[in-house]
Amino acid sequence: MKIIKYFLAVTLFIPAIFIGGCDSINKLPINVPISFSFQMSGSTLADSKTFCMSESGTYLDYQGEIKKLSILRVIYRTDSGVNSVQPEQIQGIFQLIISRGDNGQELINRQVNLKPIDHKKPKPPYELSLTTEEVAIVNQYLNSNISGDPCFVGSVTLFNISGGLPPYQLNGHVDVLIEAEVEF
Amino acid sequence: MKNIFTVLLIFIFSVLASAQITDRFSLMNEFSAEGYTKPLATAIGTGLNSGTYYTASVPSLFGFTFSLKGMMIFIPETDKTFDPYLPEGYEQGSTATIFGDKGNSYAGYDGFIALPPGINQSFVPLAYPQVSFATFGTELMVRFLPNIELTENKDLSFWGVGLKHSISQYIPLFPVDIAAQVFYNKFSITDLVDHKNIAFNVHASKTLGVLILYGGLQFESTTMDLEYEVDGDPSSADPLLRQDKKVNLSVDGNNNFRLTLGTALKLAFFALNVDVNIGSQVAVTSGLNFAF
Repeated sequence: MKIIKYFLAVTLFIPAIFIGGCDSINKLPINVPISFSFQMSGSTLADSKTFCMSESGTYLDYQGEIKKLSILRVIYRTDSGVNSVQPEQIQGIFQLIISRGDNGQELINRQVNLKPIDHKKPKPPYELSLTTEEVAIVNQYLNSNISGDPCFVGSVTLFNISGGLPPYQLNGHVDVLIEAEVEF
Repeated sequence: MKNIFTVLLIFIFSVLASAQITDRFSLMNEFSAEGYTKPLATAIGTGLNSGTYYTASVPSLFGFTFSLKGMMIFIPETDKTFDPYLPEGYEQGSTATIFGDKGNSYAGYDGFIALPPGINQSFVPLAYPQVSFATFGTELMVRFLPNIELTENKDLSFWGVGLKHSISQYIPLFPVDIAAQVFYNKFSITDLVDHKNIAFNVHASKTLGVLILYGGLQFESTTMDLEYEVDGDPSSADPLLRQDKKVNLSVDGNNNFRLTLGTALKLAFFALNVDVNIGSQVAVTSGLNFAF
Protein backbone atom coordinates (compact mmCIF):
# COMPACT_ATOMS: atom_id res chain seq x y z
CA MET A 1 0.00 0.00 0.00
CA LYS A 2 2.88 2.36 0.81
CA ILE A 3 4.30 1.80 -2.65
CA ILE A 4 0.97 2.74 -4.25
CA LYS A 5 0.82 5.90 -2.14
CA TYR A 6 4.35 6.75 -3.22
CA PHE A 7 3.53 6.35 -6.88
CA LEU A 8 0.39 8.41 -6.56
CA ALA A 9 2.27 11.10 -4.67
CA VAL A 10 4.84 11.35 -7.44
CA THR A 11 2.13 11.51 -10.07
CA LEU A 12 0.07 14.14 -8.29
CA PHE A 13 3.10 16.12 -7.18
CA ILE A 14 3.83 17.18 -10.71
CA PRO A 15 0.62 19.10 -11.39
CA ALA A 16 0.66 20.44 -7.84
CA ILE A 17 4.02 22.09 -8.34
CA PHE A 18 2.95 23.30 -11.72
CA ILE A 19 -0.15 24.98 -10.41
CA GLY A 20 1.80 26.83 -7.72
CA GLY A 21 4.79 27.67 -9.84
CA CYS A 22 3.74 30.49 -12.11
CA ASP A 23 4.59 33.58 -10.03
CA SER A 24 7.88 34.40 -11.66
CA ILE A 25 6.36 34.15 -15.11
CA ASN A 26 4.04 36.98 -14.17
CA LYS A 27 6.78 39.16 -12.68
CA LEU A 28 9.54 40.31 -15.00
CA PRO A 29 12.50 42.62 -14.45
CA ILE A 30 12.89 44.32 -17.82
CA ASN A 31 15.80 46.57 -18.74
CA VAL A 32 14.72 49.83 -20.37
CA PRO A 33 17.45 51.96 -21.95
CA ILE A 34 16.62 55.64 -22.54
CA SER A 35 18.97 58.26 -23.89
CA PHE A 36 19.37 61.87 -24.93
CA SER A 37 21.58 63.25 -27.66
CA PHE A 38 23.30 66.59 -27.71
CA GLN A 39 25.05 68.75 -30.30
CA MET A 40 27.38 71.42 -28.99
CA SER A 41 29.43 73.87 -31.01
CA GLY A 42 31.18 77.20 -30.61
CA SER A 43 33.77 78.49 -28.21
CA THR A 44 31.93 77.08 -25.21
CA LEU A 45 30.22 73.73 -25.27
CA ALA A 46 26.90 73.32 -23.47
CA ASP A 47 23.53 71.80 -24.27
CA SER A 48 20.38 70.72 -22.48
CA LYS A 49 17.66 68.25 -23.45
CA THR A 50 14.50 66.81 -21.96
CA PHE A 51 14.04 63.07 -22.21
CA CYS A 52 11.22 60.90 -20.94
CA MET A 53 10.62 57.24 -20.19
CA SER A 54 7.94 57.16 -22.89
CA GLU A 55 10.64 57.56 -25.54
CA SER A 56 11.39 53.88 -24.99
CA GLY A 57 9.19 51.50 -26.94
CA THR A 58 9.81 48.83 -24.31
CA TYR A 59 8.55 51.17 -21.58
CA LEU A 60 5.42 51.98 -23.58
CA ASP A 61 4.76 48.28 -24.17
CA TYR A 62 4.63 47.59 -20.43
CA GLN A 63 3.66 51.00 -18.99
CA GLY A 64 0.39 49.87 -17.40
CA GLU A 65 1.99 46.88 -15.66
CA ILE A 66 5.13 48.50 -14.23
CA LYS A 67 5.29 48.25 -10.42
CA LYS A 68 8.77 49.58 -9.76
CA LEU A 69 11.50 51.49 -11.58
CA SER A 70 15.19 51.51 -10.65
CA ILE A 71 18.15 53.23 -12.27
CA LEU A 72 21.00 50.83 -13.05
CA ARG A 73 23.68 52.54 -15.14
CA VAL A 74 24.58 55.81 -16.92
CA ILE A 75 27.05 56.04 -19.79
CA TYR A 76 28.38 58.77 -22.05
CA ARG A 77 29.43 58.14 -25.65
CA THR A 78 30.62 60.38 -28.42
CA ASP A 79 28.54 60.21 -31.58
CA SER A 80 29.99 57.95 -34.27
CA GLY A 81 29.57 60.59 -37.02
CA VAL A 82 32.60 61.85 -38.96
CA ASN A 83 32.84 65.34 -37.44
CA SER A 84 31.29 64.57 -34.07
CA VAL A 85 34.33 65.86 -32.18
CA GLN A 86 36.37 68.78 -33.53
CA PRO A 87 39.25 69.31 -33.07
CA GLU A 88 39.65 65.60 -32.52
CA GLN A 89 42.06 65.80 -29.59
CA ILE A 90 40.12 68.18 -27.37
CA GLN A 91 39.62 67.26 -23.76
CA GLY A 92 38.26 68.97 -20.70
CA ILE A 93 35.99 68.70 -17.73
CA PHE A 94 32.71 67.12 -18.71
CA GLN A 95 29.79 68.03 -16.50
CA LEU A 96 26.57 66.05 -16.57
CA ILE A 97 23.53 67.21 -14.64
CA ILE A 98 20.36 65.15 -14.66
CA SER A 99 17.37 66.90 -13.11
CA ARG A 100 13.73 66.13 -12.57
CA GLY A 101 11.61 67.12 -15.53
CA ASP A 102 8.79 68.48 -13.36
CA ASN A 103 10.48 70.78 -10.83
CA GLY A 104 14.11 70.92 -11.93
CA GLN A 105 15.52 69.31 -8.78
CA GLU A 106 19.03 68.03 -9.43
CA LEU A 107 19.34 64.27 -9.16
CA ILE A 108 22.85 63.69 -10.50
CA ASN A 109 25.60 66.30 -10.88
CA ARG A 110 28.99 65.00 -11.96
CA GLN A 111 32.22 66.47 -13.29
CA VAL A 112 34.83 64.21 -14.84
CA ASN A 113 37.95 64.67 -16.94
CA LEU A 114 37.05 63.46 -20.39
CA LYS A 115 38.66 63.16 -23.80
CA PRO A 116 35.66 62.63 -26.12
CA ILE A 117 37.62 60.87 -28.89
CA ASP A 118 38.40 58.08 -26.38
CA HIS A 119 34.69 57.24 -26.23
CA LYS A 120 33.86 57.24 -29.91
CA LYS A 121 33.11 54.10 -31.91
CA PRO A 122 34.78 51.58 -31.84
CA LYS A 123 36.03 52.57 -28.37
CA PRO A 124 33.87 51.85 -25.31
CA PRO A 125 31.64 54.47 -23.69
CA TYR A 126 32.45 56.24 -20.42
CA GLU A 127 30.47 54.90 -17.47
CA LEU A 128 29.57 57.02 -14.48
CA SER A 129 29.67 55.05 -11.24
CA LEU A 130 26.48 56.00 -9.48
CA THR A 131 26.57 56.58 -5.73
CA THR A 132 24.02 55.02 -3.41
CA GLU A 133 22.56 58.48 -2.78
CA GLU A 134 22.17 59.19 -6.49
CA VAL A 135 20.47 55.85 -7.07
CA ALA A 136 18.12 56.46 -4.15
CA ILE A 137 17.06 59.96 -5.21
CA VAL A 138 16.53 58.96 -8.86
CA ASN A 139 14.52 55.90 -7.83
CA GLN A 140 12.41 57.98 -5.48
CA TYR A 141 11.53 60.30 -8.36
CA LEU A 142 10.88 57.46 -10.81
CA ASN A 143 8.55 55.65 -8.42
CA SER A 144 6.68 58.77 -7.32
CA ASN A 145 5.38 59.07 -10.87
CA ILE A 146 5.24 55.44 -11.89
CA SER A 147 1.88 55.53 -13.62
CA GLY A 148 2.78 58.70 -15.50
CA ASP A 149 5.73 59.40 -17.71
CA PRO A 150 8.78 60.45 -15.66
CA CYS A 151 10.88 62.97 -17.58
CA PHE A 152 14.39 64.24 -16.99
CA VAL A 153 16.38 67.24 -18.10
CA GLY A 154 19.92 66.34 -19.08
CA SER A 155 22.48 69.15 -19.19
CA VAL A 156 26.00 68.63 -20.47
CA THR A 157 28.93 71.03 -20.54
CA LEU A 158 32.56 70.62 -21.56
CA PHE A 159 34.77 73.31 -20.04
CA ASN A 160 38.46 73.97 -19.34
CA ILE A 161 39.00 72.68 -22.87
CA SER A 162 42.52 71.92 -24.12
CA GLY A 163 43.95 70.06 -27.10
CA GLY A 164 42.69 72.40 -29.79
CA LEU A 165 41.39 75.86 -30.59
CA PRO A 166 37.77 77.00 -30.96
CA PRO A 167 35.36 76.76 -32.61
CA TYR A 168 34.73 73.39 -30.99
CA GLN A 169 32.23 70.74 -31.98
CA LEU A 170 30.99 67.85 -29.85
CA ASN A 171 28.03 65.57 -30.58
CA GLY A 172 27.28 62.81 -28.13
CA HIS A 173 24.77 60.79 -26.21
CA VAL A 174 24.00 59.97 -22.59
CA ASP A 175 22.31 56.61 -22.05
CA VAL A 176 20.48 55.75 -18.86
CA LEU A 177 19.54 52.15 -18.11
CA ILE A 178 16.41 51.68 -16.01
CA GLU A 179 15.07 48.41 -14.67
CA ALA A 180 11.30 48.14 -14.80
CA GLU A 181 9.69 45.50 -12.63
CA VAL A 182 6.64 44.43 -14.57
CA GLU A 183 3.79 42.45 -13.04
CA PHE A 184 1.08 40.95 -15.22
CA MET B 1 -10.17 15.56 -18.00
CA LYS B 2 -9.23 17.04 -21.33
CA ASN B 3 -8.78 20.41 -19.67
CA ILE B 4 -6.40 19.03 -17.08
CA PHE B 5 -4.19 17.50 -19.71
CA THR B 6 -4.35 20.61 -21.78
CA VAL B 7 -3.23 22.83 -18.95
CA LEU B 8 -0.38 20.54 -18.01
CA LEU B 9 0.85 19.87 -21.48
CA ILE B 10 0.93 23.46 -22.58
CA PHE B 11 2.55 24.91 -19.49
CA ILE B 12 5.39 26.60 -21.28
CA PHE B 13 3.93 26.99 -24.71
CA SER B 14 0.69 28.62 -23.69
CA VAL B 15 2.70 31.28 -21.91
CA LEU B 16 5.00 31.43 -24.88
CA ALA B 17 2.05 32.11 -27.10
CA SER B 18 0.96 35.08 -25.06
CA ALA B 19 2.40 38.54 -25.43
CA GLN B 20 4.60 38.42 -22.32
CA ILE B 21 6.98 35.89 -23.81
CA THR B 22 6.75 36.60 -27.49
CA ASP B 23 7.52 40.25 -26.79
CA ARG B 24 10.84 39.13 -25.37
CA PHE B 25 11.98 37.64 -28.64
CA SER B 26 11.63 40.97 -30.37
CA LEU B 27 14.32 42.32 -28.01
CA MET B 28 16.83 39.83 -29.39
CA ASN B 29 18.56 39.22 -32.65
CA GLU B 30 18.12 35.77 -34.14
CA PHE B 31 21.48 34.47 -32.88
CA SER B 32 20.74 35.42 -29.28
CA ALA B 33 17.19 34.11 -29.59
CA GLU B 34 18.62 30.72 -30.44
CA GLY B 35 20.71 30.64 -27.26
CA TYR B 36 17.78 31.97 -25.25
CA THR B 37 15.39 29.22 -26.37
CA LYS B 38 17.75 26.25 -26.73
CA PRO B 39 17.14 24.96 -23.15
CA LEU B 40 13.40 25.12 -23.83
CA ALA B 41 13.80 23.00 -26.95
CA THR B 42 15.85 20.54 -24.90
CA ALA B 43 13.37 20.47 -22.02
CA ILE B 44 10.31 19.93 -24.15
CA GLY B 45 12.17 17.35 -26.23
CA THR B 46 13.29 15.57 -23.09
CA GLY B 47 9.72 15.55 -21.83
CA LEU B 48 8.06 14.41 -25.01
CA ASN B 49 10.65 11.70 -25.56
CA SER B 50 9.97 10.29 -22.07
CA GLY B 51 7.46 7.87 -20.67
CA THR B 52 7.27 5.59 -23.68
CA TYR B 53 7.70 2.30 -21.82
CA TYR B 54 7.65 0.64 -18.42
CA THR B 55 8.22 -2.90 -19.61
CA ALA B 56 9.93 -4.57 -22.53
CA SER B 57 7.35 -7.32 -22.57
CA VAL B 58 5.09 -7.10 -25.61
CA PRO B 59 1.99 -9.30 -25.81
CA SER B 60 2.19 -11.92 -28.55
CA LEU B 61 -1.60 -12.10 -29.02
CA PHE B 62 -3.32 -8.85 -28.13
CA GLY B 63 -2.76 -6.01 -25.70
CA PHE B 64 -4.23 -2.59 -25.04
CA THR B 65 -2.83 -0.02 -22.63
CA PHE B 66 -4.17 3.38 -21.63
CA SER B 67 -1.68 5.51 -19.73
CA LEU B 68 -1.63 8.88 -18.02
CA LYS B 69 1.92 10.16 -18.09
CA GLY B 70 3.27 12.90 -15.88
CA MET B 71 6.84 14.11 -15.78
CA MET B 72 9.13 16.70 -14.37
CA ILE B 73 12.11 17.93 -16.35
CA PHE B 74 14.78 19.49 -14.19
CA ILE B 75 16.63 22.45 -15.65
CA PRO B 76 20.35 22.46 -14.74
CA GLU B 77 22.02 25.74 -13.75
CA THR B 78 24.10 25.59 -16.93
CA ASP B 79 20.88 25.90 -18.95
CA LYS B 80 19.88 29.12 -17.21
CA THR B 81 22.48 31.37 -18.83
CA PHE B 82 24.05 31.73 -22.25
CA ASP B 83 26.46 34.04 -24.05
CA PRO B 84 24.48 36.26 -26.42
CA TYR B 85 25.61 37.45 -29.82
CA LEU B 86 26.78 41.06 -29.42
CA PRO B 87 28.49 43.46 -31.80
CA GLU B 88 32.29 43.53 -31.64
CA GLY B 89 33.57 46.06 -29.13
CA TYR B 90 30.62 45.62 -26.77
CA GLU B 91 30.82 44.36 -23.22
CA GLN B 92 30.57 40.58 -23.12
CA GLY B 93 29.12 38.16 -20.58
CA SER B 94 26.27 35.79 -20.04
CA THR B 95 22.58 36.56 -19.70
CA ALA B 96 19.42 34.65 -18.83
CA THR B 97 18.00 31.94 -21.05
CA ILE B 98 14.23 31.45 -21.04
CA PHE B 99 14.66 29.53 -17.76
CA GLY B 100 17.05 32.06 -16.22
CA ASP B 101 16.41 35.08 -14.03
CA LYS B 102 17.39 38.65 -14.89
CA GLY B 103 18.44 39.66 -18.35
CA ASN B 104 21.78 41.41 -18.72
CA SER B 105 22.55 44.74 -20.42
CA TYR B 106 25.68 45.49 -22.38
CA ALA B 107 27.19 48.93 -22.87
CA GLY B 108 28.88 49.80 -26.13
CA TYR B 109 29.55 52.54 -28.66
CA ASP B 110 25.91 52.62 -29.83
CA GLY B 111 24.36 52.56 -26.36
CA PHE B 112 22.92 49.78 -24.25
CA ILE B 113 21.80 46.44 -25.64
CA ALA B 114 19.30 45.11 -23.11
CA LEU B 115 18.31 41.46 -23.21
CA PRO B 116 15.12 40.04 -21.72
CA PRO B 117 14.78 38.09 -18.49
CA GLY B 118 13.79 34.45 -18.25
CA ILE B 119 10.93 32.90 -16.31
CA ASN B 120 13.21 31.82 -13.44
CA GLN B 121 12.13 28.19 -13.35
CA SER B 122 14.11 25.09 -12.40
CA PHE B 123 11.67 22.54 -13.71
CA VAL B 124 9.14 21.96 -16.45
CA PRO B 125 6.18 19.70 -15.74
CA LEU B 126 4.41 17.92 -18.57
CA ALA B 127 1.55 15.46 -18.72
CA TYR B 128 -0.38 13.75 -21.48
CA PRO B 129 -2.41 10.64 -22.19
CA GLN B 130 -1.15 7.75 -24.26
CA VAL B 131 -2.65 4.58 -25.70
CA SER B 132 -1.01 1.55 -27.20
CA PHE B 133 -2.14 -1.56 -29.03
CA ALA B 134 -0.04 -4.69 -29.30
CA THR B 135 -0.17 -7.85 -31.32
CA PHE B 136 2.37 -10.44 -32.51
CA GLY B 137 5.12 -8.92 -30.39
CA THR B 138 4.72 -5.47 -31.91
CA GLU B 139 3.15 -2.45 -30.23
CA LEU B 140 1.78 0.75 -31.72
CA MET B 141 1.79 3.72 -29.36
CA VAL B 142 -0.28 6.85 -29.98
CA ARG B 143 -0.38 10.21 -28.20
CA PHE B 144 -2.88 12.78 -29.32
CA LEU B 145 -4.69 15.91 -28.25
CA PRO B 146 -7.35 17.64 -30.33
CA ASN B 147 -6.54 21.16 -31.53
CA ILE B 148 -6.84 23.65 -28.70
CA GLU B 149 -7.29 27.40 -29.12
CA LEU B 150 -4.78 29.16 -26.85
CA THR B 151 -5.31 32.73 -27.94
CA GLU B 152 -6.82 34.29 -31.03
CA ASN B 153 -5.26 32.68 -34.11
CA LYS B 154 -3.03 30.47 -31.96
CA ASP B 155 -4.00 26.81 -31.92
CA LEU B 156 -2.05 24.12 -30.16
CA SER B 157 -1.79 20.67 -31.61
CA PHE B 158 0.05 17.62 -30.33
CA TRP B 159 0.40 14.09 -31.56
CA GLY B 160 2.92 11.31 -31.37
CA VAL B 161 3.28 7.84 -32.73
CA GLY B 162 5.67 5.02 -31.84
CA LEU B 163 6.40 1.46 -32.79
CA LYS B 164 7.92 -1.14 -30.49
CA HIS B 165 9.01 -4.66 -31.27
CA SER B 166 9.99 -7.47 -28.94
CA ILE B 167 13.51 -8.76 -29.54
CA SER B 168 13.54 -11.35 -26.80
CA GLN B 169 10.68 -13.29 -28.40
CA TYR B 170 13.27 -14.61 -30.85
CA ILE B 171 15.53 -15.85 -28.05
CA PRO B 172 13.87 -18.73 -26.20
CA LEU B 173 14.28 -18.78 -22.41
CA PHE B 174 16.10 -15.50 -22.37
CA PRO B 175 16.03 -14.27 -18.72
CA VAL B 176 14.91 -10.69 -19.46
CA ASP B 177 12.57 -9.07 -21.94
CA ILE B 178 14.20 -6.89 -24.56
CA ALA B 179 12.50 -4.56 -27.04
CA ALA B 180 13.41 -1.88 -29.53
CA GLN B 181 11.26 1.21 -30.04
CA VAL B 182 11.11 4.16 -32.36
CA PHE B 183 8.75 7.11 -32.01
CA TYR B 184 8.00 10.57 -33.25
CA ASN B 185 6.22 13.49 -31.56
CA LYS B 186 5.06 16.76 -33.04
CA PHE B 187 3.92 19.70 -31.02
CA SER B 188 2.95 22.99 -32.63
CA ILE B 189 1.33 26.36 -32.06
CA THR B 190 0.11 28.24 -35.11
CA ASP B 191 2.66 30.71 -36.49
CA LEU B 192 4.84 30.45 -33.40
CA VAL B 193 6.45 27.12 -32.76
CA ASP B 194 6.83 23.74 -34.35
CA HIS B 195 8.49 21.17 -32.11
CA LYS B 196 9.58 17.86 -33.65
CA ASN B 197 11.10 14.97 -31.73
CA ILE B 198 12.35 11.61 -32.88
CA ALA B 199 13.85 8.87 -30.73
CA PHE B 200 15.11 5.33 -30.91
CA ASN B 201 15.71 3.12 -27.91
CA VAL B 202 16.52 -0.37 -26.82
CA HIS B 203 15.15 -1.32 -23.43
CA ALA B 204 15.02 -4.33 -21.15
CA SER B 205 12.86 -5.36 -18.23
CA LYS B 206 12.67 -8.09 -15.64
CA THR B 207 9.44 -9.01 -13.90
CA LEU B 208 9.77 -10.12 -10.28
CA GLY B 209 6.29 -10.93 -9.01
CA VAL B 210 4.34 -7.66 -8.99
CA LEU B 211 7.49 -5.64 -9.51
CA ILE B 212 9.02 -4.76 -12.87
CA LEU B 213 12.55 -3.40 -13.10
CA TYR B 214 13.36 -1.74 -16.40
CA GLY B 215 15.99 0.34 -18.11
CA GLY B 216 17.07 1.45 -21.55
CA LEU B 217 19.37 3.47 -23.73
CA GLN B 218 17.91 6.03 -26.11
CA PHE B 219 19.18 8.16 -28.96
CA GLU B 220 17.01 11.15 -29.75
CA SER B 221 16.87 14.47 -31.49
CA THR B 222 14.72 17.55 -31.10
CA THR B 223 14.18 20.49 -33.41
CA MET B 224 12.12 23.51 -32.48
CA ASP B 225 11.19 25.86 -35.32
CA LEU B 226 10.30 29.26 -33.96
CA GLU B 227 8.78 32.23 -35.73
CA TYR B 228 8.61 35.80 -34.43
CA GLU B 229 8.56 39.37 -35.66
CA VAL B 230 10.97 42.18 -34.93
CA ASP B 231 9.58 45.71 -34.97
CA GLY B 232 12.69 47.47 -36.22
CA ASP B 233 13.97 50.47 -34.30
CA PRO B 234 16.44 52.54 -36.37
CA SER B 235 18.06 53.81 -33.18
CA SER B 236 18.56 50.34 -31.67
CA ALA B 237 22.06 49.69 -30.40
CA ASP B 238 21.88 46.25 -32.00
CA PRO B 239 22.30 46.63 -35.78
CA LEU B 240 20.32 43.42 -36.29
CA LEU B 241 17.22 44.98 -34.71
CA ARG B 242 17.02 48.20 -36.74
CA GLN B 243 14.68 46.95 -39.45
CA ASP B 244 11.30 45.23 -39.38
CA LYS B 245 11.71 41.55 -40.09
CA LYS B 246 10.21 38.16 -39.59
CA VAL B 247 12.58 35.71 -37.96
CA ASN B 248 12.37 31.98 -38.61
CA LEU B 249 14.61 30.09 -36.29
CA SER B 250 15.45 26.40 -36.12
CA VAL B 251 16.77 25.43 -32.69
CA ASP B 252 18.21 21.97 -32.03
CA GLY B 253 17.82 20.65 -28.51
CA ASN B 254 20.83 19.31 -26.62
CA ASN B 255 19.04 16.05 -25.88
CA ASN B 256 20.86 13.37 -27.88
CA PHE B 257 21.33 10.42 -25.59
CA ARG B 258 19.80 9.20 -22.35
CA LEU B 259 19.87 6.38 -19.86
CA THR B 260 16.53 5.37 -18.32
CA LEU B 261 16.17 3.40 -15.09
CA GLY B 262 12.81 2.66 -13.56
CA THR B 263 10.47 0.42 -11.70
CA ALA B 264 6.81 -0.45 -11.99
CA LEU B 265 4.27 -2.03 -9.73
CA LYS B 266 1.82 -4.21 -11.61
CA LEU B 267 -1.40 -5.31 -9.97
CA ALA B 268 -3.75 -7.15 -12.34
CA PHE B 269 -4.75 -4.62 -15.03
CA PHE B 270 -3.21 -1.71 -13.27
CA ALA B 271 0.44 -0.61 -13.26
CA LEU B 272 2.17 2.34 -11.66
CA ASN B 273 5.63 3.23 -12.83
CA VAL B 274 8.31 5.77 -12.11
CA ASP B 275 11.64 6.23 -13.85
CA VAL B 276 14.53 8.59 -14.03
CA ASN B 277 15.99 9.70 -17.35
CA ILE B 278 19.57 10.88 -17.31
CA GLY B 279 20.61 12.93 -20.31
CA SER B 280 21.61 16.55 -20.85
CA GLN B 281 18.63 17.32 -18.61
CA VAL B 282 17.23 14.95 -16.03
CA ALA B 283 13.57 13.98 -16.17
CA VAL B 284 11.52 12.00 -13.70
CA THR B 285 8.54 10.28 -15.25
CA SER B 286 5.61 8.61 -13.60
CA GLY B 287 2.69 6.82 -15.15
CA LEU B 288 -0.68 5.36 -14.35
CA ASN B 289 -1.22 2.51 -16.78
CA PHE B 290 -4.30 0.41 -17.40
CA ALA B 291 -3.24 -2.65 -19.40
CA PHE B 292 -5.55 -5.32 -20.80
